[in-house]
Amino acid sequence: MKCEKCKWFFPFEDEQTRGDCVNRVVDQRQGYWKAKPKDAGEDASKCPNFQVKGS
Amino acid sequence: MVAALRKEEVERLEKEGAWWWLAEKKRSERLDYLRKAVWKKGALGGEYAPGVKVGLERPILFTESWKENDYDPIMLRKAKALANVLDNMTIFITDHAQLVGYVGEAPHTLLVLSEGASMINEEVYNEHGVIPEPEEESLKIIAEINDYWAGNTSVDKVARLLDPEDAVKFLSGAIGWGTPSSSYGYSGKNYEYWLTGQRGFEDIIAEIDQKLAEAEEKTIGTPGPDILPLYDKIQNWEAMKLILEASIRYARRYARLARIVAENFEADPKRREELLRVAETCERVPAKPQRNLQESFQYDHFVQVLSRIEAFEGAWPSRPDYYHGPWYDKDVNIDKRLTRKEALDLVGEFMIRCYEVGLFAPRWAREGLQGITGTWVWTLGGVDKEGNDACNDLTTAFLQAARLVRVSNPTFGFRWHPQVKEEVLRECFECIRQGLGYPSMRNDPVLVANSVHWHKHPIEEARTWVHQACMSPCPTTKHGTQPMRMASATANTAKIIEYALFNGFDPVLKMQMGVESGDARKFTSYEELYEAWKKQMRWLMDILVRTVNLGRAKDPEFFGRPFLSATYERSVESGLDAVSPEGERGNAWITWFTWVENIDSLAAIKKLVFDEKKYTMAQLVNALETNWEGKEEMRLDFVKNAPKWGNDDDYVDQIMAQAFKDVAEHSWEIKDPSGNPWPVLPENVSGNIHYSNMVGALPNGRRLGDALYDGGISPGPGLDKKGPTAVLKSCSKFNHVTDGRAFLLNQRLSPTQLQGEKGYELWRSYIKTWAELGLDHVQFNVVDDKTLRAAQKEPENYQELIVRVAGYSACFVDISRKTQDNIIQRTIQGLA
Repeated sequence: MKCEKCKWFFPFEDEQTRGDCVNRVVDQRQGYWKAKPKDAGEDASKCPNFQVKGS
Repeated sequence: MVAALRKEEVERLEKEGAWWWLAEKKRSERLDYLRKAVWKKGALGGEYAPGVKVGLERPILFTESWKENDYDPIMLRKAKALANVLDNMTIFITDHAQLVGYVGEAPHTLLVLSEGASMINEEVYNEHGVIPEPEEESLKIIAEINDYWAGNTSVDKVARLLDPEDAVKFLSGAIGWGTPSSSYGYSGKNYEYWLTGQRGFEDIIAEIDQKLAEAEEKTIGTPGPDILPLYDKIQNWEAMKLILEASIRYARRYARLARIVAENFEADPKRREELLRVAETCERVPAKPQRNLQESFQYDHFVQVLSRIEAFEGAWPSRPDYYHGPWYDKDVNIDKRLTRKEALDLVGEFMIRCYEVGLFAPRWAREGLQGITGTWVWTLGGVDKEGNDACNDLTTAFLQAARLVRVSNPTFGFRWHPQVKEEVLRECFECIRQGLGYPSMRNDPVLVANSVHWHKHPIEEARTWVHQACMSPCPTTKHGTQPMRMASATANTAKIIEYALFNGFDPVLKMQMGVESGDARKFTSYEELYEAWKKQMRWLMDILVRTVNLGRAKDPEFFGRPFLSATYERSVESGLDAVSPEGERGNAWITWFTWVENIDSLAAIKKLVFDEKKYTMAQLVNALETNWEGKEEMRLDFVKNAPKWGNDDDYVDQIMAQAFKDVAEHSWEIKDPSGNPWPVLPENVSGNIHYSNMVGALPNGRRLGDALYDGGISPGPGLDKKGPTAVLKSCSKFNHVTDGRAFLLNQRLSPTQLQGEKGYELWRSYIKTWAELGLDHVQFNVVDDKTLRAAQKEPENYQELIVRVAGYSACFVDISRKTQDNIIQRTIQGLA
């Protein structure tokens, strides 16, 4: 399970080995979308948001 | 039917003056969502709201890069560290938002700045409730970062250079507050350089490239002393370029996120279109100059956020109607790209994006600025460089949006001048009448003259002025913009009279603080007392200014501002850090907290001790030493039978006028690092509550622990008994151009009296008198006691009830009970 296999992972156009992990969050006051850069090869086995691409 | 019901409800709320509930009904669904979505970052009293946490990504990413670039000079090392933050920090886009950019990794986070001050880092570690879960893990990370920076922050470095005695006194917390570093300060923005539609960051980078090419050519040319400074400057220019490039990448990360959400997740076509517009906007700015209102706001907001990721900026000097007005005009009036309602949504959101910003502040700052994150006073109105009325449609839009979003930060200061149109003045009045506490009214001709007098700004530049913090005017030009207003030049001036009475000894701290000015028990004349007072006044100004000057001069070496420098024309031109005093005309001032206590105390002693000889100096000093214990009758005599400032009484008013003359004289004797003077600026924020336990009993009848007066030149609460014109007349007995930098005046007016057309006429007539008397400032609270008492009982029903505290406004429910009571105690003036 690596980030690159996740549906929330969007690789950078100019650097496919890295990309944005995009997630939806709803807190007590608002809903928002967030993004954080990740390595495509990063281990995602413990990530609670991991979902296989295409699922 | 629904519309009719709504109209009926709106009319009822208007009639009842329940403006905070009315705003909720009148604003658009988008604004209502965005207003309620904000996590309140201003401390409630002194505590952060539940759920608000410190953001750890910035300190982690910054420190990680800092460690890796040990060999770089500070500007370059810092630019790299900030770039690491901008490239890797989590970003987010709130639902319904059209503007983006935040200082932390989530909407509920506060920015933490590890490289600023160790004493504040320790507060982060020890502050309950703000540590993110899992707490143990977060505390470990914070401890490791704090250990790394201990002794190496900019304030630590300045403190090591100070005279040890000065350092102890300065850091005692009794005489002043703030830190002598731009890490925690107020930084002006050189709007004339980057926000006029002529430049984006790519244009600035091109200017830097030109400078680099010229400098590099010289460094391989004929040797001479002129080449030597270029080696450092080349590194500085490289740092500026690096951070500008990182800033463009940062904005484009938002563009990418907006596009990903629009193309993959958003089902609503209207929102999808909005997200694509956000993407287009963030691809455009700050890289290139803005082309429309949304881009203009977004450009400005990015610069504000980026500046605050670089440093804790406690103020937000801004003039949004002046700089964004042409884009509003283009979109709404010329191209008709936006309807007025759509534009109002953007204006309201622009204010909300500012309100949202949260920075971790130490406890003394939170107590002194209850309910807000910083003194974010935006400037509206005024004149253009040629002296013509600068108000435009966006001025009106901001005043209307303020009544819809009802945020306590930013607030507005309105630059009144004789050409202001009636319809604009009515909008100002409507904000005041609806209880916002803002705009404060500023007398533009007086303040332009003041800027020319004290800091020799050319009049065309003086006319660009913005509020540098709560009150002080500062130009937005190449040599006028002030990069570092040192908050630590803030004097708790009630200590002047206290030290004059105790020979420089602090009866609360129990240590010698001031100079030895003589045993007051043995004073035989008022003149002798006043001479002692002057000695203490000069001592207090000197110690603060010495410390702050050192901090300012060493800041480029100890802190470094690559981003701020890259947005300053004089830095891009010179290759120097923006904070370097070179090239700045100076705009320093000493904030003069707890001032009127001095005047009322001097007047009371003059009358009851020296004129009427009812008491001896020894009796008075003994009574003060014991906090009036067993002397209640005597204390009440000093409260009731001594003249009080604010009643058009020459006895006390002339003491005020003389004191200001003597203070102004010393202001010219002390110099900032550019050789310019240090005028004073009486105001308080909520320092009157913060300092209430640090100032002992005073001859105006005050006891240790009592709230001090609410500040500036405002009379003591309930002590101005002769009506509003008498207050104005007292305040006109000194010169608002030559005696100081600005003078804060709080007034409370009756909401009942301000109803309808008659209310407006009364207020306008008051403003006319105020302007003719030459006062530079006045601000109003227009909420009755009944509403304030109800809000104390049921705070959950009054979340958007706003009051004017001092140079800022706050939600009434966010300030401490003591501050709330202090506001209720202020005299409600009836206008005649």
